[in-house]
Amino acid sequence: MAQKPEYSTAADPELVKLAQKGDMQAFEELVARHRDKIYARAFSMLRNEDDATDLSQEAWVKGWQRLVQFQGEASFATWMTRIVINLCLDQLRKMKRSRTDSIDQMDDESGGVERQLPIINPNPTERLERGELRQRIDRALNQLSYEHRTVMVLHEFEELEYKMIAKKMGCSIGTVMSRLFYARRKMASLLASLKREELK
Amino acid sequence: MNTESKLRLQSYLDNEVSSAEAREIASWIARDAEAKALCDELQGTKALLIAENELPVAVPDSREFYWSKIQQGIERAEREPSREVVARPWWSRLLAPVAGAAALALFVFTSVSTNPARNVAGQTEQSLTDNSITFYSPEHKMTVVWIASAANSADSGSADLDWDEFE
Repeated sequence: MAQKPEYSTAADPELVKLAQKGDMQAFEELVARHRDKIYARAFSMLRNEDDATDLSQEAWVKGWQRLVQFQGEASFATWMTRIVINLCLDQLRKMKRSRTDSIDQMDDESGGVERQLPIINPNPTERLERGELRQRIDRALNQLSYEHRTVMVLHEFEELEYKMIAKKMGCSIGTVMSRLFYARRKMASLLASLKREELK
Repeated sequence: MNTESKLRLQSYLDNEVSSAEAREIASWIARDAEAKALCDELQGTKALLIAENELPVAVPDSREFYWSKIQQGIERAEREPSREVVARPWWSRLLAPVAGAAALALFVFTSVSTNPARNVAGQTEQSLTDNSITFYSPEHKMTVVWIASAANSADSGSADLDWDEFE
């Protein structure tokens, strides 16, 4: 009789092999190990807990369905992260189609507002506790348009090159560069204004 | 500083320029205070976001609850396995109605082409009293009768004809 595998101590590649053969328990263990990371990526792009939970769960379902295609070139977590990012991009495209851009957003898109932003120095988050830092960054990220946030997430968090971001987002490298530039400048400005608000 | 210069500066910070260009931009930053200030700001934001990304984030649901929804999704997907694999293009949904319309058009066309008025091989008889036309094809051994409905024949002539076919 085959010995029951010890899921909690097995390495990812071993669990992946078992899951590829249809072992659902092995897959559950993989979900338990990486669910926070996959959820975090969805949350960083969507900025909504419920949407991020739903979409990350959808990503896991897709992961199970496509598991036979996973060859192990990247780590399992990286492979799953790509799936959730693609789902987020699809979701954001749908949201964009159903949204009417305001003049302000169009101005943001072209970098019109950026030209008036003063250079922020020194660092507005100096001497902040970790929790405070996160809160402030979260508030600033929430105020960015999804195009700017997505470019920033893909560049800073996923470390994708301009070319790859352009491909994923279906835009030119020039657009990626200007969106990223605007997003960083706007972030700096928002963080500074949040600091000013807190000092009042 | 123009937009192109600013984007060039950013590309330098993101390691998206050649080594020759990187040296050129580095020397520009060293002698230009505005470029240096912008460079510091961009670097600061970049570092903050990377630090933020390293902070732990946890799924708000318990392990069991989170997994149960995934499991349900997997089971649902396995009950309807062909939906994703055999994704049909949008136009294929129009095939059935278009094919139906084409078949109908073909049928009407062939009917019209055997219109008694134009068919010399067959025999045609038009009744003067009940608005019906009878056509007999000896070649096909077939009789076709067009009967105009009373209501239609009264106000729209032969626009809408009901017809029966006899062999």
